[in-house]
Amino acid sequence: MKSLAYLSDFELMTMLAVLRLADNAYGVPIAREIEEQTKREVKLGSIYAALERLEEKGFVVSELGEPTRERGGRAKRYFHVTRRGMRQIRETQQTLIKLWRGVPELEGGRL
Amino acid sequence: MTKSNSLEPPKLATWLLEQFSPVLEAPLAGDLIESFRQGRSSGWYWRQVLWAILVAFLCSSRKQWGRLAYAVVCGGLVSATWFSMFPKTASTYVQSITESTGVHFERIQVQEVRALPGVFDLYAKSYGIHWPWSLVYQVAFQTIFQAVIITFAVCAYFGFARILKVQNLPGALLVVVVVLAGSNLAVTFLTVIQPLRLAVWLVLISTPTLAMIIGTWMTDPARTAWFVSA
Repeated sequence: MKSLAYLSDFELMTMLAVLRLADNAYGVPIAREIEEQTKREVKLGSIYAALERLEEKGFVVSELGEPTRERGGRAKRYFHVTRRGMRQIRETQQTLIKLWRGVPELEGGRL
Repeated sequence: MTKSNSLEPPKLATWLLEQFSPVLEAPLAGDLIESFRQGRSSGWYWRQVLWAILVAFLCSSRKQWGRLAYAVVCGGLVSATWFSMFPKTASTYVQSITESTGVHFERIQVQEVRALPGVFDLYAKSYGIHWPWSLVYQVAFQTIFQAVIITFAVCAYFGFARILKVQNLPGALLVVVVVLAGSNLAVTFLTVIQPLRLAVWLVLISTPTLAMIIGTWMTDPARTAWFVSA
């Protein structure tokens, strides 16, 4: 049995947001993407903390962009999901689907 | 292009972010400024900054638990040193207020000086000063006393590890002094309120530890390496 590095729900959401945003995945759009889907305020500090953990695990990589005036001279940090990260997302998805299937209360999308 | 004040985020919040999280600050502060200029409120900006500081502290402590343990132990020692000098600190405060204002409080006890009598003599000079200068003297004395020990402890920790970054010290000590002075001032006033005695003692005991944790965290050069992967 292989060991699985579990993703928290917030880490999974953050990685999915990075994937959806493709080449425009930096703090502001990542936060907006998650906020639009969850309808909750997202703290940018939490996003950076999650991305730092994911980067340590090798699931994402980052690169600094150029500083811009509208950001007070600060650079953007762009994130990309690695192959390892993609594999992890698929494994998590498969695990969740398997767990879902065995629960009659969740069938058909009813509460 | 003329800049409007409404497009500028709260300066104090940005300064705090820079002090507490200098490396994280670059991309994160950029994101916060960009969002603020897109219409987010000052309240939102402050919430984000305070949360980011808390997260940066927790992430840093997760990796530097030895530093955190050292800060807790040293903070406890600072409290112990202070209390060994003033075994009846609360009574001392009450007596001081009575002497200065003429208002009598019950249960005043005689002080028993057990340690560092020379230092206590310096502190006791405040009893001959009229309020509010006696209060200023006492708070300043206590703050300086605690800050000196904390500074020594912080320098010793990073000095022995040969990773002391002197440029990190001024900002760290400024925040330490503000935390200590604010707490000591609040405690001095709250001491006379009987129902709050327990809370006052808890603040008295925990403040040097909190200041020590902040001091070591802000001085730690590893803090400036947090989230650096590029």
